[in-house]
Amino acid sequence: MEEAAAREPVITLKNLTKIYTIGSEKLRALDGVDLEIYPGEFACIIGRSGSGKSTLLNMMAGLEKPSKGSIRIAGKQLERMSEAQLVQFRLNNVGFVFQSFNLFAMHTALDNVAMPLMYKGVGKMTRTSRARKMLTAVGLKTHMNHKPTQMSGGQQQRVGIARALVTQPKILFADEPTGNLDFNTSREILRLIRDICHERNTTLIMVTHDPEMAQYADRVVRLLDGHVIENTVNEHPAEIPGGVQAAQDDTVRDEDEE
Amino acid sequence: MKWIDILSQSLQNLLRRKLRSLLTMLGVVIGTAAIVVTMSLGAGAEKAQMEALESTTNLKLVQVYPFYGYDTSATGQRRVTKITDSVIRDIRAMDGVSAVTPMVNVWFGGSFALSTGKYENSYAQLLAVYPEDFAKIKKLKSGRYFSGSTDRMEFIMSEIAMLDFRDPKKEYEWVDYYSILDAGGELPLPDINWLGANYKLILRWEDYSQAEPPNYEPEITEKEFKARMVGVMPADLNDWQFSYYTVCNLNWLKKIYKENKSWFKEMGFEMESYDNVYVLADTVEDVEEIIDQLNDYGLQYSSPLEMVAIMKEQIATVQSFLGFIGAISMLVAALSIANTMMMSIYERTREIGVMKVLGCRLSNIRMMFLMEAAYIGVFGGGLGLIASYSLSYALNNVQWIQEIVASFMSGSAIFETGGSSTSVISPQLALGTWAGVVAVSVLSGLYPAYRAMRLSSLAAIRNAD
Ligand SMILES: Nc1ncnc2c1ncn2[C@@H]1O[C@H](COP(=O)(O)OP(=O)(O)O)[C@@H](O)[C@H]1O
Ligand SMILES: [Mg+2]
Repeated sequence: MEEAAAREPVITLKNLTKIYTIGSEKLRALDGVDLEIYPGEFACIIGRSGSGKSTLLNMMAGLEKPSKGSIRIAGKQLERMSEAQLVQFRLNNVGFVFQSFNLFAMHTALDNVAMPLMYKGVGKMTRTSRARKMLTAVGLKTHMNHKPTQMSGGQQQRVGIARALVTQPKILFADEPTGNLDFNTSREILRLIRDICHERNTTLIMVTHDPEMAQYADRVVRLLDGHVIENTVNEHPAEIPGGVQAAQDDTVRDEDEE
Repeated sequence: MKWIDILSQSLQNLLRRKLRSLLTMLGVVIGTAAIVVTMSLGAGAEKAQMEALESTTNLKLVQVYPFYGYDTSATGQRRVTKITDSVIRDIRAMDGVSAVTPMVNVWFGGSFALSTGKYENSYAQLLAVYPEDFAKIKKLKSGRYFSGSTDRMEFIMSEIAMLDFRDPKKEYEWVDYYSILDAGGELPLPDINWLGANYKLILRWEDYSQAEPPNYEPEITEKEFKARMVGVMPADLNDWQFSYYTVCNLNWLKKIYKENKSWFKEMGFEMESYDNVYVLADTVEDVEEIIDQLNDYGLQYSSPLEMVAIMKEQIATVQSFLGFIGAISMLVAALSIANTMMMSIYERTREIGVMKVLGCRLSNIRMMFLMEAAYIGVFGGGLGLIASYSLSYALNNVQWIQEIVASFMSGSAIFETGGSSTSVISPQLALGTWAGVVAVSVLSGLYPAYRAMRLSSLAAIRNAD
């Protein structure tokens, strides 16, 4: 992407290394990773299970400290920050979507989405109205007051995406967001997450072990045993099959009937 | 995060596990009630004893004596060994003093007799006081206080002393006034127009040696003064200061003493200084200050407040033992709070991890857990107070419970309450305990809250992958 290359990278990793010590064994989960990701990109990190994808993502999200190397995100050096600073950094810059959704079980969809705004100190009226807009944007207008247990997996992940984006982060991290979903729902969620990030010019970094997903990304980073073995820019990412608007509404309707 | 959000999140988390929260709170309720009720028993005993003391003694009175005993020249302590009228004036000028009077017990080498008509009181004991001060110290049942005039003897008596007027020609009949008064009855007073009659006060020489012929006989053996009874004091068995005396005006006594000084001296009565002075404080609270001033002045004193202090100390000893038991039950409650919080954190490990990933401040997480612990204290303590007030009511009003308590307390004189309320919960006790319970709850939440804050967000998210 020429356009992207001309700009400053939003994420710059230099010689990033993570060593886990298990007993006397030393395991290099990441071994000298150099990587640049540009604003607005949809980057896909793929690789076998155990190749270090999650470790890489978690370190970029400031959830884990590197053993060596540097992480520069949105102009900040993450490896020098304290835990409290990292929490603050996440709140202001980063959204996170989990494989197992990790919604707050006791709260409604609306409250779940409003939660990060509450952590930010936004008043109840404002955060509720912003959460409503966000839920409408992910196609859950009719499910605002449902609890997670009253929703299907696809709907729960939509709530998860809405919750991750409600604070308008610069970067959205997603660790196998479709890992717990069936084939069709996976595609719908992928489309939703990609389109919504594209619309907002949010950088999206997604981990997956599904090679199919990679063809829809702007950049593909392949890991093997903690090494980057491929870093390619997709000039013309494939279209995700299925109509955008219709599919979203179908999902909601279908799952309503379950 | 806004405070209101922290508070409401904590409350929601608490209400999520109703049964467990309730059980934990129950511990706090029991702890609170144990402390409040045991302390209230002590307070009840104190109140009852104070009431008993107040009904028998005037706590505002301080008795003052000249300084006698050990030599204090080494310590530099002032000593006033003779209380004269100028000393009385100094005491009167002290802060918090309402009234001062010497208590002149007229000792005499003979006898006093008061007589009116056929009745004679041959056992009169004369007590002379300053009239205005006496009026402040002692209440009358009828009649009036001294007029201030020294022309004629005026006296005031209690009904107990009035019983001593008898007809000498009739057979002596002893009246058990103690039993009568104790039963609340009226004394069988002789039929005298008490405040209207004319009395005579006779000062008579008596030879106690009964040698024959007498070893010594003064020239004048008898003096007689006209007298009027102006007031009647109520018959009060506890008032050993005035009830058994014929109280008269000290200024009158001074006058006749001056006029008959050599004769009085011959009779063995001298009035150069006072042995015993009464000081009345403006309020009970002033007593301590007065005592300090008397001490600095170089006088000795005694006050019923000293008894109060001893009594309070005794009650405090018992109370601290009972309070200790209450504190132990509170400690158990605190451990149970900490345990509940740890369980709650363990269960919510994942949720806390997600909160951290979503950007919830560490201090906010800690505060949410502290508040959850505080809620247990606030609600548990509040319910504990309701329980305490109910128990206290039962202790004070339900017959069979009172009987059980009485049988337990029978060995302990301190808790003899003589019918008034056994358990007294003051607002200070209630609110103080409540605040303490909340503080203890927050303290027990401190470590769990710290643990919650320190949880690794990553481990939390991973554990279900
Ligand atoms: N906390 C940890 N302690 C020890 N080893 C770990 C830890 N986290 C990950 N690993 C190891 O690091 C390697 C990379 O893990 P991960 O990044 O989760 O891989 P992926 O997400 O690609 O499946 C794996 O071998 C994994 O067992
Ligand atoms: Mg993984």
